Amino acid sequence: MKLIITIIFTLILLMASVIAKKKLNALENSFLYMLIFFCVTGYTAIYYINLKVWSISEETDLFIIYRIYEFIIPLICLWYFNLLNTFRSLYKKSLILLLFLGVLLIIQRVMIYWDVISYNKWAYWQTILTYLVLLVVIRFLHLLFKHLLQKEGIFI
Amino acid sequence: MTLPENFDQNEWFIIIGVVITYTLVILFPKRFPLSMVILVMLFAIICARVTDHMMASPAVNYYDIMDTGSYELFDLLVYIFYAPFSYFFVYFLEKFKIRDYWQIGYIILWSFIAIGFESVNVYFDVFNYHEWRLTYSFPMYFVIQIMTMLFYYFIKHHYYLLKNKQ
Repeated sequence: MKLIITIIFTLILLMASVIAKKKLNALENSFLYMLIFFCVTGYTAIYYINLKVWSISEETDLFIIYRIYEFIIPLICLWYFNLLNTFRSLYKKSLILLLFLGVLLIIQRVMIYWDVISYNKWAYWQTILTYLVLLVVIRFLHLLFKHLLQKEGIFI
Repeated sequence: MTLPENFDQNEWFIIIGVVITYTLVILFPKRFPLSMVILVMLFAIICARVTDHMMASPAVNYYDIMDTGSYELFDLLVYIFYAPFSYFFVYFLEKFKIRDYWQIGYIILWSFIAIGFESVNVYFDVFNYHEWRLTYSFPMYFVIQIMTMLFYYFIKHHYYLLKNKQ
């Protein structure tokens, strides 16, 4: 049942991501998705393989859910970066950041509730900090890439 | 990220390989804008990462990368090492203007080049097989080359579409 819910949720999210009108162009979206995916699979691997502060369930269903989770997180971050460009004021941008941190945390909470991920000497605030660092680093790299595109004559 | 247990031939192979391939990328006459080069190379890194993540993780462990099964600093360099190959793949695709059915032959040729490159990696202990064989990699490379080609056409289309909108 957990796997079916995850698959349906992912498909809805995927469809919505494809259909939704995006603020960023296809090149930026491709760059961001690949970069976020690489970072997410990197830090989660460090957490559960190297540091062993996370344990991932060995049950097949739950392990598949975990792999889908690694695919969902970059997709949600992509929504965040597209929405970020919609607002100009710092206040609204901060609200969007808080909203997305909340969404990411809720998804993580569900993963723990379903026993997909178990924390060992790890706390939620560390997860929030990880997401915050991830979003800031990706934002910085995104701005660099955007600057490069502008230098090449692409301003949209 | 952990550092290598023993700094031996596989680490040296990766370091020398990275220096040589990136020097070649810089020395070759420029055919694409830098943003497209970054995207194509990033795509190769992601393909390698996804494949290794699926098949060289603790749960499904067909092979190890470098010395241990953990995520090492040199694992990251292996991905960086793989990136220029996708660049050369699209570079020669454009240089020799390979179109239509010739593209199938080109993909097959590059799949064999990739197999040859992987066998060198295996020789230098970059990949340590458990239940994996070199021949299994051929269909993997075949699919990855097709995806790289499609991705290249996708970004090329969007790049010039955006540029012409200005």
